[in-house]
Amino acid sequence: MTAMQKNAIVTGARGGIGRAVVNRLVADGVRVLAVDLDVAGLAGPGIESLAVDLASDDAPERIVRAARVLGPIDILVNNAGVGGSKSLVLSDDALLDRIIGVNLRAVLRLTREVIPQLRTPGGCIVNVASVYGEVGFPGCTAYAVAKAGISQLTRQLAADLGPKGIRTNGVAPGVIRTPMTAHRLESDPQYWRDMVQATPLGTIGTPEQVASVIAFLCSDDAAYVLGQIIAVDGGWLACRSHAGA
Amino acid sequence: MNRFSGKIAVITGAAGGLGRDAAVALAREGARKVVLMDRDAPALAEVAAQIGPVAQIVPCDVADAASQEQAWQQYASNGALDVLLTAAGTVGRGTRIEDCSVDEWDRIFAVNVRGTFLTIRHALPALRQARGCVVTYGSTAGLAGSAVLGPYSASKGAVAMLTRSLALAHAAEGIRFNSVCPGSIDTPMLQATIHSAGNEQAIAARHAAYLARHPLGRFGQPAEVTAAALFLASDEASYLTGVSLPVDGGRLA
Repeated sequence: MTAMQKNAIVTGARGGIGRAVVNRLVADGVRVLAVDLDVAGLAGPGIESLAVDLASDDAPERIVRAARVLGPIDILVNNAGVGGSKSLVLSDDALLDRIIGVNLRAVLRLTREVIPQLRTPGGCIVNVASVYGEVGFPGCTAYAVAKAGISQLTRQLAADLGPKGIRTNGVAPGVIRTPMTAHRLESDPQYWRDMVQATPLGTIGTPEQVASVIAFLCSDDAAYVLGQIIAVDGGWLACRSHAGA
Repeated sequence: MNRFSGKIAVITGAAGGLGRDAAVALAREGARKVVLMDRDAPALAEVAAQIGPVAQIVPCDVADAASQEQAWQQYASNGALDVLLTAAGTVGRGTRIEDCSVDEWDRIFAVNVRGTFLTIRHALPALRQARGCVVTYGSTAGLAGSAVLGPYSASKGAVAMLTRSLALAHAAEGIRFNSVCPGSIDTPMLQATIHSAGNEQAIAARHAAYLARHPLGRFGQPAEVTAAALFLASDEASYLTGVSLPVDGGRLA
């Protein structure tokens, strides 16, 4: 179906959502450079992989160098992120630096390096934001602030790169079952109440349900969609203050 | 793609530009029945001819309660409903709020708000049977204010909130409600809005001003609205409900 071979960079490729995005893009005929701290088990047809710590100084340069074997980049999916956030008074400098560093600063630095390599016009960027970046939620200050930054980055890039024909959009996942959330889903009853029970559709989302929205945003079907953050959250954000009422 | 293989769909405003485009696309993607609702029956016949045997014509003035009653009686034998697109809408005469007559106001709200409400209320029993989904047609003017299209903007704002409230009310039944929100799409409606600016110079100025607000630097095509609407209606969007998705070339961002 796709006439032209497309190439993508996906960060956090070994995580729940990242793995689903890689699988989906490959199934759609896209060649993927899969980036993560550890890339064991990521190999496969249509997949190049690179083990790198996104927070390291030379990560953007190494990723772009590794992507050269693919040719011009059509798609950048900024998916990598870390959790473990707390309320502000409980967040020491190391925690703030780590969460802002990986979830926001590393995304800015990688995107800056990739922009000149993006097919122009025609390239696209999809950022994985979060519902926590859109509304207040207790106990996750640095994460929420970083993700709000990702949402705003999405709009800034839309304004800056839209005129060049590069589209930037984002998704804001709600409660999704991944290795990052699995433990909390099982051990934190408050999280279960605030997230699962407050999700109107009444189900926990799957990584594949996020990947299909990202695939839409990367496709020509979204050719006139720009600067948007699509909540993939079973209605949590649209209805959160009234769930059950 | 064949995302709607074996499904039944209803499209209101099916004789209009966006409704017609979506109806044709649903048929192309395998829908086994595409029910076309519009008050313009002769135009529906043309759309049905374009679609072929899967099309069913159901004349309906969405704003009229009796007409809706009749239309959904005619629909009833189809049973469960998988996809409902409420594309019927009117921009009215494009008047500012200060210049809007009561009749004009009532007409815009009758079509855009009462029409969407009546359509969905009638469709709910059939949607429930299929755990179906609804895509309403909002507008970027329903998410941000509009100086030149105030009454229209207010009506589309109502559609956005109608969609979110329905999303919450029927999520437990597995019925998804989302809204596609076209911005400046290259349709006769947009041309009319631009041409209502006045003389040639004013028209050119409004055209340039509209374009300048869009980071992508162009107006959208009806097919681009359809692509987004069909994504929302497909299983690809199975974890989305209550979403208003602007298709606006970055205007609102």
